[in-house]
Amino acid sequence: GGPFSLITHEKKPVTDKDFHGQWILIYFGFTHCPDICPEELEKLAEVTELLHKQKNKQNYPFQPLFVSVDPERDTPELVSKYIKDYSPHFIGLTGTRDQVADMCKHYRVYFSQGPKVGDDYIVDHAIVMYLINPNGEFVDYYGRNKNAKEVAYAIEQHMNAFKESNK
Amino acid sequence: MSVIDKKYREKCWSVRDDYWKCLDMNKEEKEKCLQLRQLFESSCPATWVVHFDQKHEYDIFKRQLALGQVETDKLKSIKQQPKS
Repeated sequence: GGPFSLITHEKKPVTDKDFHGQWILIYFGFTHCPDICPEELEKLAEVTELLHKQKNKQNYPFQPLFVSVDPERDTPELVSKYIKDYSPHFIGLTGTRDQVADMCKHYRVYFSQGPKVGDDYIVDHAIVMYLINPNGEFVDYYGRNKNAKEVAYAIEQHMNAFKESNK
Repeated sequence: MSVIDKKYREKCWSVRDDYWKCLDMNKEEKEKCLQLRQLFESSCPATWVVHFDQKHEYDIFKRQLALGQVETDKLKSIKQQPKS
């Protein structure tokens, strides 16, 4: 985990500090993604729904984040249009190449522009969701092998542990 | 319409699945599925077609591995390739 400075799909500049006080689950992807990002975003939407159902038991809100690893193409407008298809709760983040590269370095997320076909290309990237607690600390990560129910359950365990340790 | 539209993506995936079903029913003989192939290529971006072709080959390979149908020579040559 670590610092980041990007802009939301509504063109609002944000940093990691703006998300303190919330549980954030970050998925790194790009809008021109053929299959994996749509699948993972459906999963993220389902995790969000499952956790929001238990909202009353939670001290801190849960916020899913989509971060683009394709700063060349993924403008806030494009990101906004893309994430709306998955959940009204998503916040999408994008930025300059340097800002994205910086965040990915801190989060150890590999990404690399693939071979071009005309103007088009696919971005090769790590497929993972990162969980950050309300103190801004990295807590856990989830790969493709975990389904939505498993991820939501794991997050609830972390939420309970956090609640206990902060009594 | 572009990949940013959900309907475009779903149409591409649906056409891709029809093409794969045809290949499956015709023992991967591409000549038997030319029309669906054309539809697939016109419904998806070129980069996605390349990506899905690679995925399809890999899925077949995995299936063959599971069924013990991959010859040791082929396995040996793959083990020698650098990881991508």
